[in-house]
Amino acid sequence: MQARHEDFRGANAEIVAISSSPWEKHAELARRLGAAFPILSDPDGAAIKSYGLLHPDALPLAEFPVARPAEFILDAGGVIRKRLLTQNWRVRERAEHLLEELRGI
Amino acid sequence: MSLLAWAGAALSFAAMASYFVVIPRWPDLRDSGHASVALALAGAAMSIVGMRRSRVPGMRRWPAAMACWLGAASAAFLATYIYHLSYQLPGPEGVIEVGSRAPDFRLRDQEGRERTLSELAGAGRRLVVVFFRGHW
Repeated sequence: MQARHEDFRGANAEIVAISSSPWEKHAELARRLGAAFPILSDPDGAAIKSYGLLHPDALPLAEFPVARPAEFILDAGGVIRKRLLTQNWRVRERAEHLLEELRGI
Repeated sequence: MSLLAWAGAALSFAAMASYFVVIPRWPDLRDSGHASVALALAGAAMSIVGMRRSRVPGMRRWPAAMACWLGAASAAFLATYIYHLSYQLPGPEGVIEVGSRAPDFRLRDQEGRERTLSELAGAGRRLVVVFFRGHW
């Protein structure tokens, strides 16, 4: 994602990533990936739940909420134009495909 | 000789462990997973053949049998993870639909600052919102 960040900017889009990890953990992740886009922390799962993405029992014994992987493309007015849901949480959406989708709208 | 049993088990274990450690560097290999499963199964098969050949009178068989179990367990775990566990996801019911307004949120970014969707979307840009499992 970071490698194609400029391409997303070129497609007039900004990336925002969200997980339930604590923000300190995201700080570490952002350093490791060199991510310049915001990675947001949703430890209580408020956003995860409001998007309907809570994955109950995703990890055995986990006491934190876990989101199913999903991507949304929002227009400049904040309306959802595209929703991408994987069938398999092991397989993540690629930057190239998201860029194609962005150009296709 | 139980060398074949151990070599097979080591191959199977390596195929399983490398899937999580090394293979993520190649997204195509990671996404399909077939190559890793095939390698792990080949290792387990080698291990079983090795154990069968190790039936030498007067020789202890349990080391080869142990290797065999290790190889088979690695292969079985990897195959289950790739072809079954990772498909365990709730259906799309309840997930917010195309055409709706994206619900606003107030969350901390990687620098600890509070950010809202309305602020992020306010720049006249489109937004790609990526939810991921996290905790890694």
